[in-house]
Amino acid sequence: MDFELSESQALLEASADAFAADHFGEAALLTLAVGGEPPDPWPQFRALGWSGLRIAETYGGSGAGMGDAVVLLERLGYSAVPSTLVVSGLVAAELVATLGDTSQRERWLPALAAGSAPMTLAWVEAGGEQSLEALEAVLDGAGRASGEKRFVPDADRCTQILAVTRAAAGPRGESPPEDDLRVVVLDPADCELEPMETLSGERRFAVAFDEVPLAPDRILGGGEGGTRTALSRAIDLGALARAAESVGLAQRVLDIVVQHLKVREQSGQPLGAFQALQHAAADMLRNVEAARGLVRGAVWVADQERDRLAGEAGRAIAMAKAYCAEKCLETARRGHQLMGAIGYCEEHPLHLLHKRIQAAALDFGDARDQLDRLADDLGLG
Amino acid sequence: MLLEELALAGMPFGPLVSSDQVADAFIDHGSDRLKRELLPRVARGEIIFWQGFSEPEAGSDLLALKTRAERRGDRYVVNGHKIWSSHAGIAHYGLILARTDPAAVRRHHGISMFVIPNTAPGMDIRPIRSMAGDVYHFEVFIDEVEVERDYLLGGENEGFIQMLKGLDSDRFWGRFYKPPTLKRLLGDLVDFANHHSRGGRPLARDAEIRRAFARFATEIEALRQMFWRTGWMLREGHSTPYETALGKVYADETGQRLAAFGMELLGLYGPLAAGSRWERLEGKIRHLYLTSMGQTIAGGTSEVQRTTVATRGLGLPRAGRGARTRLR
Repeated sequence: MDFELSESQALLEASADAFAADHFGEAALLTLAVGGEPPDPWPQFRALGWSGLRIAETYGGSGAGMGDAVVLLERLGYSAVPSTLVVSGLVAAELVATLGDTSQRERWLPALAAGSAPMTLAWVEAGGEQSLEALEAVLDGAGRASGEKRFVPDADRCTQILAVTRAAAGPRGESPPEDDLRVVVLDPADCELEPMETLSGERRFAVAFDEVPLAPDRILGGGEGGTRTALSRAIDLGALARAAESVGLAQRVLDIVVQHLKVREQSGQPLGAFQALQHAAADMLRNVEAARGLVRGAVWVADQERDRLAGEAGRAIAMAKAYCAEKCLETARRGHQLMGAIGYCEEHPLHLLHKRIQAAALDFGDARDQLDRLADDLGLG
Repeated sequence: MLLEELALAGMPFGPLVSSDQVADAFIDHGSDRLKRELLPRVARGEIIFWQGFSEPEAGSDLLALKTRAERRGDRYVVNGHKIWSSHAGIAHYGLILARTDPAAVRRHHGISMFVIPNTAPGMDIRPIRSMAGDVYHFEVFIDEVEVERDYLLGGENEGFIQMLKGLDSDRFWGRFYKPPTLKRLLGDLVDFANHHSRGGRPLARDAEIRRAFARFATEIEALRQMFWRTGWMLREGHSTPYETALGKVYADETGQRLAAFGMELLGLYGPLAAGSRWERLEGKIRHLYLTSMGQTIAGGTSEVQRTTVATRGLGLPRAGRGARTRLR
C-alpha cells in the first residue's frame, strides 16, 4: 500500500484547495453558518471536470478512480464546500455504467459527465431506513413507476432522479423476477417534490411519483449481474465519498480548535496549556488520523478488488463509514467543548461543520447499518 | 416541587428561579431603598433579573473581569462589556459585577455588585443567536452608566460573596430540573423505539438499544437522588463545596449523551430543521442536542466543575497559577 498521493491525486488536492481559496473562503463559510446561500460552486465544478470524475473518458469524464474522488472530497470537506451533487453524480454514474446497456450509457453518461444534467439517487422511503429490502416503490408490468421517497439530495437541481423500485411483475405480466430491483430514471417534472429542511442546510426532498410511464431506456437493471449487487456497490461508493468528506470536515474542526487553544488565554496562560484540553485535542487528532487511514485503506482495497463487489471492499468501506460516522461526529462535539462559548454562536462556523459531519455520517448507511453489516461479516453466529 | 412540575410541563421557568434567589439577596444585602423599590415588584412578578458576570476576556477566569465602577460623589459610574448574559434582553434589571478597587492586591477583593436597570442611559443590550437558532444569551455594552449608591448590593468591594452565591445558585437551580425533563424525554424515546423498526425488527427489541435505555434510566435516577440531596443540604443551610459542581457536570453530560442517543435512534429524521413538517418528537431531540452543546460550557465548563470537585471536594492540590514553573 502506497501512503503517498499519486500525481493525479496531488494535483486534485491542490486544485481543490485553490478552488476553495478563490471561490469558497471564510466569507462563504460564515454565510453558510448563519443560514445564507453562498455562491453556487457547480459551474466551477463542471469547468474543473469534477462532475464527471469517475465517468469513463469515452463518455467525456475524467476516468479517475475512487482514490482521486476521495482526495477531492476530503479537501472539499475541509473547506466545507457543499459537494452533495458531486457525490450524487458519482453514485448515479456508477449505476448507469453498471446497470445500463450500451444505448443507456450513451444516452445518460455524457451529460452527467459534463455536469449539464445532474442526477441523484432516491432510495430511502418513509420509514427512514437505508435499505434495499421491503421497498414499497414499484414498477408495474406496464412500465409505470409509483412510490414515495424521502431525503433525496438536491432533487430540485437535478435533471433526472434515479429511483429504486421493485418490479412488481414482469413486462408480460408474469410474476416478479428473482432479481426484482429496478432503477428508474425519472424526470422531476413527473414527480412531486417537497423540501425536507435539514440542520446542515443540505438540500433534501420528499419525492412522490404516481404511475409515471417509462420508456425502456429509462429502466436500468434486470440484465446480467444482479441489480441488488450493483446498487449496493454504488451506495457503498456514496458512503465512502461522504466518509472522505467527513474526514476533511473533522480536520477543519481540529485546526480551528487547536488555533483557538494556542491563542485564547485565561488565568495567565493559553488554554492549550491545560492538560485536560491537551488530552481532548490529542483524542481528536487520533480520531481524524484513524478515520483518514480507514478511508484510504478502503479505497486501496476497492481498487484491488475491482471485480469482487462484496467481500473485502464492502467490509473496508463499512469500517471506514462506521468509524467516520461515529468518530468524526465525536470530534465535532469535543471541538465545541474546547471552543467554549464562542463556538456556540451561530456566527462561528463550528456548528456548521458539526451539522455537515452529522449529515455525512448518515448518508448511504449510518454507523448502525455499517456495524450490523460488519458484525455479520466477522463470522459471528 | 413547583419548579419541577413547571419544568416537566416544558414551561420556561428560569426567571422564576432567579427571582427567588435575588429576593433573598436583596433581603440580606440590599439597602432599604432597594428593598422598598424592588421587592414588591419582584413579589408581583413584574420584574426579572439577569446576571452580568462573564466578559470577553473573563470566561473561565471570571476574576479577570474589567468592567469598572468609579465612585463619583453619591453615585457610581460604570463602564464595561459583558457577554453570554442569559436572558438579559428579556429581563428588567442586571446584577452586574464590576471592579471598584483596581488596586486590590487579591483579585477577588475589589469587586462589587450593582443592580442596574436595562433602561439606564448607556446600557446597550444586543442579542446573540446560538447554534440552536434561538436567542438566549446577550452582549451588553455599558457606557458611562450612572448607578446610585442605594443600588449597590452588599458592601463596596464585597461583590465576590455575591458572585459565589450567584454561581453556586446557578449550578443547582440552573440544572435541578434536568432529571425530570430527561426522564420525560427518555419516555418519549421509549415510545419511539416501540413504534419504529429497522431491518424488520422494532428498535425496542434490539439488545444494545435496550441496555442503553436501561443505563440512561439508571443514571437519570442517580441524578435525581443527587439533586434532591443537594437541595436538602441547601435548604438546611449546609455548605456545598463541590455538590453543585458535581451535579451540574453529570447532568449536563448525561443530557448530551441522551440527545446523541436520541439522534441515533431517529436516524435520517434526526437532523431536520426546527419546524420541519417531517420532524419527529416535536423536534425535542434536535433542540436538546444543539442546546446541550452549550450547557457544558455555560455556568462554568465541565473542566472547571471537575477541578472544583477534585480540589474542594476531594482536597486535591490545585495546579500552579499561570504555570510559571513551566519551561518555555
